[in-house]
Formats: sequence, structure tokens, C-alpha cells
Amino acid sequence: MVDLIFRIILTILSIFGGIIGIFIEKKHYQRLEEREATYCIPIVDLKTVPPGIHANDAQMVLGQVVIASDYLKTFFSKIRNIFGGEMKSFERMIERGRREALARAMDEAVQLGAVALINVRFDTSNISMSKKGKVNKPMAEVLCAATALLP
Amino acid sequence: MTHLMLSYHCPDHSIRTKGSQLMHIVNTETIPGYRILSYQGLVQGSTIRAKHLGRDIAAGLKNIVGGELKGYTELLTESRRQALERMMGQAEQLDANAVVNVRFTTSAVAAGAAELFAYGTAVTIEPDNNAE
Repeated sequence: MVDLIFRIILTILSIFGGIIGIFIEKKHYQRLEEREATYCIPIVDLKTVPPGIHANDAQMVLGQVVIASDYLKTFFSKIRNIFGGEMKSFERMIERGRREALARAMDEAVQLGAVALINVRFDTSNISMSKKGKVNKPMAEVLCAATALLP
Repeated sequence: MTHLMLSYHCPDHSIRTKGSQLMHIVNTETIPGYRILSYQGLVQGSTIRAKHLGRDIAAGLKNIVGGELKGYTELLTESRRQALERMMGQAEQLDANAVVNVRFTTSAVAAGAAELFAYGTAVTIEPDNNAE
């Protein structure tokens, strides 16, 4: 009986959490768009200095973020697993992480007074670190490494 | 020509090697404005970090709403810096003053632990005064 009540409370919490999560996600997208609008230097993944840019120094910048899905999304993804197909909620989760990581690398570059960001590399890895037999919590780390060119 | 910012930059503090020598770290194959004199070979640094219980509980609560797990981000940033520092320590032992083509990998090796690995090529560089 106690177990059942506990489970019900947890389910209600997860549903509420999921709904709050949607709002947080919307806000995050808004903030990302605002930050991306302020990018004023070229961002490329070339290994060499693009023509027309004069640089005398370079420094590596990093942006990293650990992002996790909520219980509600995880539950729906399990249903999705039966039918297969595109997992929109996880797609959005990873996209948010990736954009946030690039924005952080960008912030660092701007702080240094960079004229361009070259050799942008993304690395996504699963660090869910779950123990055997436990429910898997999808958790990913996104790393964005780039070289900032300094004048 | 004076170069004031030669260290790998971090928002809160810049990484210096033990000899307090500033080092160039880039993930491109060359450094603009510098000439590579010699290649010292591969250098690497790795660290395996476990999360602690307090952070795990906080992350479990954060998992209800989803989104970024700030505690883990902090933990991994700190660990990656340590891996970089170890890599730079190796480079310093080889008398290099820069590391080029730096790469990172992250892998979950066991339940509750992640390995962060950084590697690159140690080189000796000097300012290129003839550039353009």
C-alpha cells in the first residue's frame, strides 16, 4: 500500500515536472536565439585561417554542457520504442545542448576579443552511468572545442 | 611584438604548467602567427572521475524537469581541465611550448564514473615575424 502511494506521488511529480520542463525548454530556446543573434564573427569548421582574416595568435576555447531528459519524456520514448521512428523530444534535447555548448565557446571567444572561430568540433557522449538493473536516465555530454583567432 | 595572452584561457583562472610557463593550446594543426620548429610527439592526459552522492541526488531531482544538470557540467569542466593540465605537464617535460591538434574523448567506463581524455601533438614554436 505504501509502495503504491509512493508510486502515485512519483507519477504525479513526473507529469508536473514534464510540463514545467516544456516551459523551461521554450525559455531556453528564446535565450539561445537572443545569444545567437549577437554573434558577430565568422564561425567555420575549417582547419586553416579563412581568407580575408588576419590573425597573429590563436587559443583554444571550450564549451561544455551535460543535458538530461525528464522522466515523462523517457516514459514516452519507451512507448515510441515499440513502434520505432523519430524521437522528437530527444532530438530537441540534444539540439539544445549542442547550441548551448557552441554559445558557451562563443562567449569565451568574444571575451578574448577573437576575430574568428575556426575548427569547431562537436563531441557528444552518453554518460548516463546507470547501474545494472536500474532505470536508465538518458544523459549526454556535449563538448564544443574550437580555436579562436586573435588579432 | 608582445604577446600577453599565451596561456590556455579559462573564465575563472588560466592554466599554467608547473614551471608557470605559459603554453599555447589549439585544436588546429598550425598556430597563426607562429612557426613550428620541431615536433616532440604525442602527449596525453586522462582522468577518471566519479560523481558523489550529493550531486547524484540533486541530479535525480533535476531529472524530473529535465534540462541541463549544472552539477555534472561543473564536475566535467573541472575534470577536463585536469586532463588538459596533465597533458600540458607531459608537453613541458618534452621541452615543448605548445600543443597542437588537441582532441577530447569522453567515455563512461563504469557505473558512476566517466573518463575524460585529452591528447595532442607537442611542438616547439617561435613567433613568425615574416608572416604577411
